[in-house]
Amino acid sequence: MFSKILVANRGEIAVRIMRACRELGVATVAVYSEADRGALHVQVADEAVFIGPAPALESYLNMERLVEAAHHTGAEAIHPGYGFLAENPEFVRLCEEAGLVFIGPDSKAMALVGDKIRARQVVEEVGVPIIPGMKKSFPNLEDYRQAAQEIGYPVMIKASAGGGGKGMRIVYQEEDLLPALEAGQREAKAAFGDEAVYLEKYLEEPRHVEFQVLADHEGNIVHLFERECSIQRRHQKIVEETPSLALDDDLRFRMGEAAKKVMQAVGYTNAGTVEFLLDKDKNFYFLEVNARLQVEHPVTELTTGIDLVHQQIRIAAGQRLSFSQEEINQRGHALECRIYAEDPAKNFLPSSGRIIYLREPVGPGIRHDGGVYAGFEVPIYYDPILAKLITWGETRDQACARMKKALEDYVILGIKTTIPFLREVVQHPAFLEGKISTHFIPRYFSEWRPRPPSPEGQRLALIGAALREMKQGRERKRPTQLMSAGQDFLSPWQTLGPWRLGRRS
Amino acid sequence: MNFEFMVDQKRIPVAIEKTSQGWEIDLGEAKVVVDAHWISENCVSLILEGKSYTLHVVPVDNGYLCYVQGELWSLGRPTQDLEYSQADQAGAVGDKLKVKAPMPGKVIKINVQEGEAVRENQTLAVVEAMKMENEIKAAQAGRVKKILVSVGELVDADRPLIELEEE
Repeated sequence: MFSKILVANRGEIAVRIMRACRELGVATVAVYSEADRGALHVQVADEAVFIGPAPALESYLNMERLVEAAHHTGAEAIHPGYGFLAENPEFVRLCEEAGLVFIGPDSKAMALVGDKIRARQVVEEVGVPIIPGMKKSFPNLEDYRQAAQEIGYPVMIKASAGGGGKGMRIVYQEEDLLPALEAGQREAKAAFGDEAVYLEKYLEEPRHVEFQVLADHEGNIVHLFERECSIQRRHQKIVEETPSLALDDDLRFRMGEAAKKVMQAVGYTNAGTVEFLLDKDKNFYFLEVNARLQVEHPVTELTTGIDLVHQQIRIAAGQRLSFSQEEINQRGHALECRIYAEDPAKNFLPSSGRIIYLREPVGPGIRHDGGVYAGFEVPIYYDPILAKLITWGETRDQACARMKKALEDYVILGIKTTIPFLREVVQHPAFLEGKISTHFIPRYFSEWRPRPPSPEGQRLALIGAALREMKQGRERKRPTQLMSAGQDFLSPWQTLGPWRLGRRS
Repeated sequence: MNFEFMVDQKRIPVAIEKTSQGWEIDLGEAKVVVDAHWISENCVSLILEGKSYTLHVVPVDNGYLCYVQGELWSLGRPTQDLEYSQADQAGAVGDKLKVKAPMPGKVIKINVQEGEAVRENQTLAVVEAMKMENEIKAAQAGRVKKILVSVGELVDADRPLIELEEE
């Protein structure tokens, strides 16, 4: 096992990975940009290294600087999280050359799956169906026009180097193709440092179903069942769940086997995800491999009982999988909602700024993976994800009921978040019936407005403000104030920092 | 004690007295008696007409933010808020000609030049925040009078980017 791991990421995922490291007795190194000195991941790490200015290109995407930081601190391995350099084969190669273990697939597999076009060829060769689309990316924008005509509109523009909705556009007619390509390339360049994009046939009304796979270095490979991620806005997943209501045992078995076949064909090791689109007639098509820990990995953890980050670290350290496919079971149902710093009332504009108050929900079947705290200034430079709320239930209905309650109990003040929007998504009749597709949000929520406030709410709010005013008055007379607004509800995890019982220096 | 709060630009008086029963609060319609117990600096448990509520009340620059039963309320202090809202309304007249940044971010593209005629809904500039590009569009047709920012510049919310003039 490693003794020290550098986590080349920020926010909730860096915090979650460091938690796993601590559970395995591995020391952690955080890296941070100028905008993140106060970030939570810096506080929970054992060591922290400053890596550069706020823009990601000069910090979290600065490969040499990260390798240097690992050497400097004596870290033996780098966990990339998701986003940033998580799927960058050049970074994997750099780590390999520097004698660092990259926690993920090797550079060869990474290069193959990262090249979405070559990956599609390999997958097609082993007999897994793919969506019609371009076999390669072109240097010339004119060639895209021709390719789009061959595939047939509508077409989808996708970034060769990554996912997460960055660089993605749907184009319905030729006039819109060139501007969309340019915007897609700019976004791809900014997000992944690579502007290559390609076109793919856009399927109507599909479901997005992906399979989690684990593969060790001895050729053992298992899948940990599916995640349904059809609830998306702007091609970004916002609610995920497992199991998918669209699969029966037979389809689940066939898709699981196909996912393993894909990963074997590309020579994949460590944790990865095979994404499929499932059409109305239950035909599935390979979409892409996500060569990283996914944002939505917790729903798999809650239903299989397997900690994916532990597994990632164990596999990277050369350990073999300790369970077989037959030993993995799905139990109950799990949902995840992504909490973004976006204003749902204003067309989901990013909402950066200071969080002045935060209260996270707790209770049976509730997991909260957060990366922020009251008093934290959410920077404009990075992905707007603040946290993830995950609920588990014996049944889907119970998981949904728990999610509804947890979203009601979740208070973030100071910046706008997607919580009010999510609250209505998980209560929508079509969602509760499981009638979902990637068109769910455009169909039911394109005209969404925040609910008008209630007279009851106003009455209570006025009472609250009056009481607070009286309290303020009383406290002004006291010599000292015990707490300021920002210090409310600090969890022990956050305030204690990385101390350990019986730790020796 | 008597307070006034601004809610949606309306002034609402609130009278509050401590009695042996708890707090007696007069919101205009009827008096209510509330049993209040502060759980932490900004969180209060209320028992009102036998029902239990938890309120989060956080002081902000000119009033309070109150989160109750899934609703977020902003309760301003009257004087400042009146000035603010008047200024806001005055600004609204020329607003369509002054193109502002809807959120903090970085200007990554300016699509027009000074003197150029623009259509309604034409994309004038692109501002990036949190890795997403946001197209800034003209709220009405007109001519570009002045470009107030340059590519690469960081802008705050409501910062004027481009000034238009009527044709």
